[in-house]
Amino acid sequence: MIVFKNIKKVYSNGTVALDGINLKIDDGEFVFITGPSGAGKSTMIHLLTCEDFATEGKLTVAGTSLKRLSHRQIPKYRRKIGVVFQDFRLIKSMNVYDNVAFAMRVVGRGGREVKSRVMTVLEIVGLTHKISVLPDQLSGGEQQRVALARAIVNSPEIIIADEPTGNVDPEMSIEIMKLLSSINKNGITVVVVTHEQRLVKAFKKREIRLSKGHIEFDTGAQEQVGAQAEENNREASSDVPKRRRSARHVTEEDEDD
Amino acid sequence: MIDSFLFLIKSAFKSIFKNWLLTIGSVTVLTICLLTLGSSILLFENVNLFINKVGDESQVVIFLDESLSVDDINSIHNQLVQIQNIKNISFESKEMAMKNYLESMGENAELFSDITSDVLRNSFIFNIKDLSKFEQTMFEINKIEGIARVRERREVIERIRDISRIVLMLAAAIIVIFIIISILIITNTVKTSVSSRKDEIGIMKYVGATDFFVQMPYFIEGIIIGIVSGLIALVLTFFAYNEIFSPILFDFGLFTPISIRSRLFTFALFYIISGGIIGMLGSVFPVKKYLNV
Repeated sequence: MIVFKNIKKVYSNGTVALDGINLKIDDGEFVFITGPSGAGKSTMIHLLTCEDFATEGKLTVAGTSLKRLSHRQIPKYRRKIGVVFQDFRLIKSMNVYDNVAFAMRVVGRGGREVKSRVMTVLEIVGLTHKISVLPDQLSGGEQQRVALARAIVNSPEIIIADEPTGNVDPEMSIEIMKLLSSINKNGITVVVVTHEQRLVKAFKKREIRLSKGHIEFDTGAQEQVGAQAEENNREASSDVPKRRRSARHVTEEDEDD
Repeated sequence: MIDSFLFLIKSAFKSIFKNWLLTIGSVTVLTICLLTLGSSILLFENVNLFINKVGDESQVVIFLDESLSVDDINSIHNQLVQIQNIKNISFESKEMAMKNYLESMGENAELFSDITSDVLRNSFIFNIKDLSKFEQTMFEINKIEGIARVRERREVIERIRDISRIVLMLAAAIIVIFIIISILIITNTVKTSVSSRKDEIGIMKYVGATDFFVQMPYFIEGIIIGIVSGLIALVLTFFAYNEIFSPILFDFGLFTPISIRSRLFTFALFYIISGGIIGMLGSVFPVKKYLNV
């Protein structure tokens, strides 16, 4: 679960990027964060990935309060999340297999476990036939699929995708979103930052629209989103724990922890 | 875990070969640094050996007049015993002195076989207890009648010590400068490989790698540079000392220089550990900057 409670972020130059954000994203939800440039989307991602910290308020992700997180605790927290970037951020000197295996090796996993898990995730993203290919020899869509495989290889609880379709052609954008959607159906919470309304409309998921650091609207309150989450959870694999079936703003009656 | 370790080693070697020119620069400077360090140690040990060979700085030899009778010699002995600041008094007859001299000449002793002990004098050998009262004690000794000549090496030995001290201080200064230069050059080498892999570091941090894991390949890189430099320095020290310096010192005929062969293991250990530590120190700083992702 992701909970933003009165989150405010003011940069050192005085810019208020987020102001009084109250938000709750349940386990297993699929959420689009939208909004124009300067709305605070990137700041929100930076807070979620611990690249930056909130000036005020409390942000809790997967049971971890990020405000109290020390530099040493950040790696442990980051293993709970998978991040996908607009520019893929693949290592050019490594082939597809190693780019994905790399994420497992750096957290100390090795041997047969790496091989079998990497092959599994490459199968999910449909790239088993390209394991020896270097990133530069792949299309944008394929590179993003490798990045997606890398994001899920350590079995994170949450996937955070920052404009994942920004460098991908329209057809492949749909494919990437379908992949994210199927990952979500396995119980993983997915947060996608995008400016592509076309995708938001096509996938009919919860949309949180930001504007000038505030939430302009959140479709999470609507019944249909709750129903969608419920449907997703029903399809989720049996090892996924039972999750809350609703998605909504943090309200006054939410217990203050 | 083994997989991760192999991954780290592979990353370190990859970067060493990628920036080979800088690696060679680092190894060269660090090798010079270690060579200076090793040469200083060898110099220090040889100086000490030489001093021991020349004699104790507190040792004094008084040569007796040839005309003295046995009674006169006993009288001198009694007078020496009376002087409180001297110890270990021993008598060396001219025959004993000749025998000792011939022994010290080793194989060349035959050249002196025609010489008799009459060219030498009887002597008393003793040590000064408190060197701070050296002048006063020597004054008392010089008052004894029948002494032909006094040999004391205090000044000579002090001069040798002074020279070796200055040489060692200069060597220490050079070593410190070289250590700093080595660290700076290794820092620069590692900095280049870090900056060429900063994206990789960023990705590592995003997927949850600890700072320790991110730093490891660079630590290993520094340590490898250090160990390689240590091994090169060891080979150079061994050959330069054994083939050049040791024969020169031997040819002077002053003394037999210390053997490096018997100290090879200690030297290897010393070079590898020092090189490794210097290499590691050089690799600490450049990575820190990229860890706050």
